[in-house]
Amino acid sequence: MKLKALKPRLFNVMFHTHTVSGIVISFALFVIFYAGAFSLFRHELYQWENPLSRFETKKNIDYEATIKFIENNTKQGNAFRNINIVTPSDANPFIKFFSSYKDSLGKNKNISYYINPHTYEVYKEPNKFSNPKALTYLADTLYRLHYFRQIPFIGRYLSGLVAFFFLFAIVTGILLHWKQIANKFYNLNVKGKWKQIWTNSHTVIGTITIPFQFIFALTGAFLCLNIFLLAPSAYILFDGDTNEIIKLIDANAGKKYDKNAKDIKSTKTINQLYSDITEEYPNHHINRIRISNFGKEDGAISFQIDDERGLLSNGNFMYRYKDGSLIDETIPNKKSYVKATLGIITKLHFGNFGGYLLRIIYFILALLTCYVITSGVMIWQTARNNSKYTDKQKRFHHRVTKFYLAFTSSLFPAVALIFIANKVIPMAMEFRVVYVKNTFFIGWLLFTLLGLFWNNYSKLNRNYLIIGSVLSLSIPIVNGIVTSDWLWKTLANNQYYVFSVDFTWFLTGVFGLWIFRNLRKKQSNKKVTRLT
Amino acid sequence: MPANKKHLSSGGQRFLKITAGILGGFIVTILFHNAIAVLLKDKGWLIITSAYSSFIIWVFMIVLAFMAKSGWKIWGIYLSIALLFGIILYLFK
Repeated sequence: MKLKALKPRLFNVMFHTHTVSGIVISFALFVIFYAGAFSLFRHELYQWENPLSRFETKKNIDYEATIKFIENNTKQGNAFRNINIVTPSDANPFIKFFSSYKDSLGKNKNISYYINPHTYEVYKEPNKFSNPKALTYLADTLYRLHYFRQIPFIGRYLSGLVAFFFLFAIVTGILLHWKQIANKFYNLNVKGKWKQIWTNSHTVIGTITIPFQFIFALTGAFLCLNIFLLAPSAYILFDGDTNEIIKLIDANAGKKYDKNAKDIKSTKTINQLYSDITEEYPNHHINRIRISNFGKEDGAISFQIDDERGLLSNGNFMYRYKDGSLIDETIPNKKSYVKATLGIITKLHFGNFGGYLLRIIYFILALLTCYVITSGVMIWQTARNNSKYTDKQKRFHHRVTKFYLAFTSSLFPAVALIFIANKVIPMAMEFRVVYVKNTFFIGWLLFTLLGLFWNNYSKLNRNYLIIGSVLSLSIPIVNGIVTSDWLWKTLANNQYYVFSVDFTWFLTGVFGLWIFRNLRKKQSNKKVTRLT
Repeated sequence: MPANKKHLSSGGQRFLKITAGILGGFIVTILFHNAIAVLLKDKGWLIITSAYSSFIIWVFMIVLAFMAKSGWKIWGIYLSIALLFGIILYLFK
């Protein structure tokens, strides 16, 4: 089969749009993929983050009693209307309890508790990111950075637009290399001039990672920009009522409950419903229990289940509160197209459909994508580093590239720094999450500024590598000193969630130092080819 | 080997193509999906399909706008398509 190349005019047009769109989004896109790679494991990081959560996951929890317990322990024994419970998982053994009640002044108060199911110790863990009283927000900081939530109002739309223009860069990139696309799957070459190495590796690794990147560009654009599809459709089809659109997809989503409905005692408990589902789906885990209009005649209870073994593996069962009769069910692997699609999109993005192996592959592909972005910028710079360009232009290209490299490479030490800050800043300290968060952002800023003094790209790369590696190696040590859960101890105690975080950083540090040593050796053996 | 400048448009033409792709492309994409939706009794599957088809169609509208020789022409084409879907929406809503 012979593939045709674009005609010269179209080739050059596509080439130019690919270059310009790529350079414009490169800074943001690198941050999205780098922070996103860590976000894949944000639930698994929790036990490492919060030493108070390092206990065994309890099975068979009495949820009725849990609700009663919380009701009795909030001031004046308030009644809840809507309750959201995230059940304990192997990664996070807390019961997470979210609800709201009206206080004596008639004001709505939100509550958000983490409950230890063994001891019924309760920790107030505010669900809002802005709340400085939370215990820990390490993974959340990276997760929210992943879609720029720290930028008020426009952050998520900005990240959505970056994802969308990434899709554009993917399409133009494929069109550009269409003729050679088959041999781009294997033709990796690391010899020759730097310009050739950058170009070759950019196209080869870029081609191999296309399916992954296409999934993330598309699902990312949807997750952040869906309001721009929803709003016009609601306006055109239903005179602006977005609820009507949501009802088309899920009939029970927009359901309204009567807060003055009669109080009633249910004839079937939550625990009974829970064990009914567990019996029918022994391999699935109930992730979330959602109760609407709790204790009222028209109340409803939903259970979300998943076994994370496929794109259609999640389901939902909704029962009447008063007698436990079924209202609606979405059965795993037997879903209609309309009900399944949204779940597939989110599962494709969050990677919870193929176990840890899939997410590890996702993690590696995300870092490879970071490489594709950086090599793209390097092609842009090296291709313009010749006599066709004035010195002024060349200085501009150099400054942009240097700033790009400093801004993105410094994320490696900065992310390692937030792990250290999470341990060094004591759990008991007030407003500790603010200090942890600021350590990360200020650290990132300082590392970036520092990089602007290193005028040589290889020096820049080497320095970040050594700083990042040393910080990586100190993460398991700091965790050992502060929580006394040393690597060998957590391994022996089967605390794999804590162990794997420490061990991954340990390997990263060792690997980084090994590369650093090889770079030094190479340098002393022969004069290194300078990039600038 | 950056792109050869003789094939690239500049100034006003460039502005027209960028706006035609991003803005015109978006309008056509939205009207296309909604024009089909008004014709359907069961709209659910179309709404959920538009979650991903919208971005794919929109991206290709941008690519096509850049491939066009004249920015005026591509704006004209996109506006005529939008008008056609607009008429369908007006007639069948």
